[in-house]
Amino acid sequence: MTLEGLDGFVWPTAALEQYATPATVAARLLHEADRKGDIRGLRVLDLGCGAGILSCGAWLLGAAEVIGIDIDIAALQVAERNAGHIGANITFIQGDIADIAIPPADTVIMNPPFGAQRAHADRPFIDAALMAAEVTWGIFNTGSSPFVEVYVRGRGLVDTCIAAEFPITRTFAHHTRDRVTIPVEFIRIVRENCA
Amino acid sequence: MRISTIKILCCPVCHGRLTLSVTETTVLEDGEEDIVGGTLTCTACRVDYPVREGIPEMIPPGAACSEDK
Repeated sequence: MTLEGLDGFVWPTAALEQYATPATVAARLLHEADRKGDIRGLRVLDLGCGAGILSCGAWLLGAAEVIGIDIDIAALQVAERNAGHIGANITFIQGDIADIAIPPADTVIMNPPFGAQRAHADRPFIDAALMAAEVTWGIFNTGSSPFVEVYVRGRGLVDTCIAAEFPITRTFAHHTRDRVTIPVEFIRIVRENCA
Repeated sequence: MRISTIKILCCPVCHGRLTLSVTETTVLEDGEEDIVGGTLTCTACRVDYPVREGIPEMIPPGAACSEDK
């Protein structure tokens, strides 16, 4: 699989919860999104794109345009190389999603921080996603969907929640096992349009 | 970054429009110019944002990466 050949983070930062999205997880999320008609031929925005695995996958699936935004320049340099390896033309931008102007898109894809290191770290991502696109697909900890539903109330609706597994290999010193599998949810949020 | 990317960017400090000065480019397969190196400058507050290795770095000067060490 092409995505498995791509590089991950060079210097992962625990505070930013920089767990590279495993290729299998990225492929499954993108496949589910594409089945809903949310990828092919569309402008796709990857928030907190890291090494660009989701961005590259969206391009491979036939997105018309892919933009990846992350605060970490080292991760973006890996992302740029990853895109080069597969001949993808993806726009990567360094910025803090809390203050950068988020370009409008058809679909946001994201693997936001789960908030394990800092509570509610995923909220600025959800806020930015709802402003940018009609449809958002995100990877969240299992059990997040009720909280996401409440958080987006009045702005968006959670219409799909798919259980998945997220394997994490030992990345940081506080990890005690070589590999753990974290149950996650793929959540689709559809923006509510004000009448 | 593609030269057309400037249309979707603005200054993260004041949301002003940006102008681009280019130091290094390549040409993409579709013929569009790709900016490898240069500087984006806000026309309102005059803050510069570098473009390095094709990536626009839209981080306000002095803003630390939000890392809790």
